[in-house]
Amino acid sequence: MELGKTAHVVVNKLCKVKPRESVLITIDGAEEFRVAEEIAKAAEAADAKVMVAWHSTPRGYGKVGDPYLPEPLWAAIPNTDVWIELNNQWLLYSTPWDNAMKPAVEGKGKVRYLFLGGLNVDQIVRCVGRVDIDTQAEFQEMLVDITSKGRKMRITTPAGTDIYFENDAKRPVRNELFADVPGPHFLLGQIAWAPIEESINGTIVYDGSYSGGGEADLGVLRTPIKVTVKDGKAIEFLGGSEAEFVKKWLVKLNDPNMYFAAHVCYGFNPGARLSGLCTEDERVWGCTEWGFGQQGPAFKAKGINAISHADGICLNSSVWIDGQQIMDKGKLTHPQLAKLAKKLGKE
Amino acid sequence: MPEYLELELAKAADFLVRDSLKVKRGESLLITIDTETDFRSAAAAARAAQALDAKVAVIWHTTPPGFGKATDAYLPEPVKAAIPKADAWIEFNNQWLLYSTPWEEAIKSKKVRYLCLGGIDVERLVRCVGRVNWELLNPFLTRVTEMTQKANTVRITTPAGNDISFKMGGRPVVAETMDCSVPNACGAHAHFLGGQIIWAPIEETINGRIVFDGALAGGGEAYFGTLKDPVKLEIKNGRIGGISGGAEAKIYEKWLAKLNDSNMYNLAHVCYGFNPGAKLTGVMVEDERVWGCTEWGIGYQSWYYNGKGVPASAISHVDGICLNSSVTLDDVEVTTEGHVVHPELRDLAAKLGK
Repeated sequence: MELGKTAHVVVNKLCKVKPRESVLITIDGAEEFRVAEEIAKAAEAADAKVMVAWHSTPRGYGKVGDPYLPEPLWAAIPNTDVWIELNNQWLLYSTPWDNAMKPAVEGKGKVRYLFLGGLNVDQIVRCVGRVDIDTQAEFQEMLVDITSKGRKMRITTPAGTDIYFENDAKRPVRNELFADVPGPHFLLGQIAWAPIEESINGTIVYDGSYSGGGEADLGVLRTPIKVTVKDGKAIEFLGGSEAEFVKKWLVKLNDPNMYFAAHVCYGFNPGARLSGLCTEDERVWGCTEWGFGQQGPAFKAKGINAISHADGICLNSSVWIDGQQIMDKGKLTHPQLAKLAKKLGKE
Repeated sequence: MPEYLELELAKAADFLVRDSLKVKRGESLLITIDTETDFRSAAAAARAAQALDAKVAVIWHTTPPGFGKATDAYLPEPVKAAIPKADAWIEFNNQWLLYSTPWEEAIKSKKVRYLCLGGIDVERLVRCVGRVNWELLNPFLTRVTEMTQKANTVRITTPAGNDISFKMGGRPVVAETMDCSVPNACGAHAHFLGGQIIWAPIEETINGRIVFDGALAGGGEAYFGTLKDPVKLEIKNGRIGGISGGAEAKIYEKWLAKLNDSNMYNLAHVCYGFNPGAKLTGVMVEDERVWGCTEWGIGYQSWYYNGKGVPASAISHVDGICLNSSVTLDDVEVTTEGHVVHPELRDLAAKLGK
């Protein structure tokens, strides 16, 4: 029953599906089919034309997955009104994703994409179905507004993250909640933007989880991975066996653009728990997240073109915007944000 | 927990992808299925293809309210885009995409190996594919096809009052043998559940009376399944000139009028049904293969049957079944009331238990 309600929220509240629209739901063999089935039912109830594509699981994220995707899927993706991605091995940043999203971002395409990659029944109920969407929207809009106005930023964590960067006022601070206009949208509870790449300097310590797709989908980390960043580029990886693995994996990918920071995010989904699934982990309340490699067109940034994309989580973040602290070790210190957080059952 | 016919389903699915479509490593196999068909058939075929290292996509989608081009407006756009891009395509849809615009595009591409298993659920897949001895059946189908191909005039009668004759005109006769790896006798990669022989007679020479006493399926509201009362069609020069019978005949007549497409009165093809596993159950893809029946298709006609290279266009397609047919090829009886009587064929049929 909770899944049924969640599917209704996804279709009607988040994607705002209209009668006769084509709704494409993609799901690979590694994902729980029930989620696709319930969303399809809700879309059918909304009088949409529904297609679920259940397909072979690619061996990695982004363009790494290209050779494994069935040709009909390539053709289907750019030809829908709404695309809800449930894949465990994401099509996000793959070539068919580019083909759908680039025109959408430029105002020439129609596809409204909602990324819910890898969420099983439990996760989607927690992270969508049980969230007070109206209060969440108010909270996120306020945080986006505050962040958009800021220029110089600093993030620290108890695990040792201490990183500085500057924002470009012309670049959007993306508010991930609704998927009601063409272009890429992601699971609610994330606010993402691309800082000025060369301004990013300091240390990022991933102490939550790390996800690069395929063999680099490390899940929850046993030992933190410490990444030294100079002028937006990762120059050193320190830590335990997982840090060593990431170093070797990046060498194997043989793509220098995989070392460049693509975006930073706040995680503020009241239902998210650290589970090893990046989609959920990067929304754990009070975390920050850094993505490296492929940079999506919606960031309107440098447009780093890389073979894949890797995300890592920094838990319990403290954030300063132009010298003013808005959160401390994962808890909101900004009075109005703290009030809304409380309404959402968080601090 | 294993479900009904789980092992037999796996065997049938393996036959489909490995022996029938001969799916190769790295090929894109598309499986389409609407919400009126048993998803297990699609899932089993997908698993079998994955085992062959194919790239598999199963499309499960909203059911359109009809067959053929009548489905076009109801299909999700990504379904239309996906279909022509496959290397092989198995259709399980109960409301067939067969004869729709994306189907035409796929077949005309000459790249997509298409197999129609419309509405075939687990039990039917096991009965009509998995448990059929294709090594015995295919020589029988091939021999009947050769005989039919050589004939000039054909007459079909049934105990229900069917009596129709037509000329062959040398048009290709296609045996559906489940060998979907090579084009059919018309040069098209359009394949159908095995146990059927299909061709388009010279349309203007078709005259007499057709009596559907098995089943009638036109998609959507005209999908009658098995018939309570026979539907009689008076045929003049390849067109329906009159419809009579019970309640179903009346609904059919009204539905045809509502479609408002004169081409829906044109006869498109005729078939023999010779699948030893087929039963009359109300699912047309199975019904039209009931041993010893003949079947008429009306409306849309594929371009590859008629020798003209262009489709006889119509908004949809209707199929009806004449049970226990007696077929005479140039005065030589092949079947009598559904029983194979031709001396060259009797032993082959007997080996198949028929």
